[in-house]
Amino acid sequence: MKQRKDRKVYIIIVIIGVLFVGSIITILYRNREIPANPYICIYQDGKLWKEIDISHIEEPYTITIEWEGGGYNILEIRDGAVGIVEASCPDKVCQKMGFISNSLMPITCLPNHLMICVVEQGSTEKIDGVAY
Amino acid sequence: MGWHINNYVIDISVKVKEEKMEIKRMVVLSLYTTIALIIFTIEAALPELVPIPGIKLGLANIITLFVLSHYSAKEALLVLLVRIFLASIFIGQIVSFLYSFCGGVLAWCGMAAVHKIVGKQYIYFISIMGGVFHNVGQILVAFYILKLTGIFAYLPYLIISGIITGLFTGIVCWFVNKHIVVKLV
Repeated sequence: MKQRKDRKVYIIIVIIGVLFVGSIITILYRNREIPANPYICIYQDGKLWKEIDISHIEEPYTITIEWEGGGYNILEIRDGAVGIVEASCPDKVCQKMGFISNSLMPITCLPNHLMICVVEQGSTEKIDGVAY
Repeated sequence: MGWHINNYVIDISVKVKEEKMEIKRMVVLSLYTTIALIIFTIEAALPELVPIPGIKLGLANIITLFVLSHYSAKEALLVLLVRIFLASIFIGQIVSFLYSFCGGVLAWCGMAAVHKIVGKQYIYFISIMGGVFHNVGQILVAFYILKLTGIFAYLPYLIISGIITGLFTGIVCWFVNKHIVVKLV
């Protein structure tokens, strides 16, 4: 009886370990990919709103994305990077995420139903993004 | 005749005693809910540790774990649901209610399953499973709202944070269990 319980505990430990190691490997694997010709996809409420090529940008500029009910996000686009500099959401998580330059971690602003990801030009990532 | 009356009296006194126990248990459980609500409110006032949406310590889960290990899964679900409902009335918006609700219910499913499999002495495994399932539930709600598969890019981060924060709450709950051995009905 005791041994059976021990086995169950080992199974749980193995499950947690696999989840942990798998996540770390996924992050490390995806961290290596740095897009040569990055461009950003801006999704609003599940639909592709805009695509911008950010591989050759000399002067950083901002664009404003509005959302129903007075919500807004102000994006700053730099050479090869994008970030949110101002937002109307209460927690400002999207603002604190800083600037991203690869597909490892997309910026999301859940209150404004916004998602921004950096992808390689002509990659399958774009298809992946609108697969739903 | 006398025997009948005696039996009746015993019957009533048992019933009254049971009812008293029920009421007492309800009061104690609502006290736990209050503690969880206070912890939840304080945690909402703290700044985030990591700027990734969905990552937080989940300290209120300590109470859910405590109730799960001292009572049963049913009571834990009750405390959890009342806490989420009241917390979203007091501090959250409608959107955050959906996130907390799905995350909480899924976390409860994971915790109840592990609790049934390994028992309450392995409280940190229960807690880790709760943390991971909570974050997976939140990602599912985010997917339902945004309808973008790209949101799953956060999944590895959220799993790792669920394991770490789950371990933390599990250790806290283990200490709590060690010091509070008395079961208040």
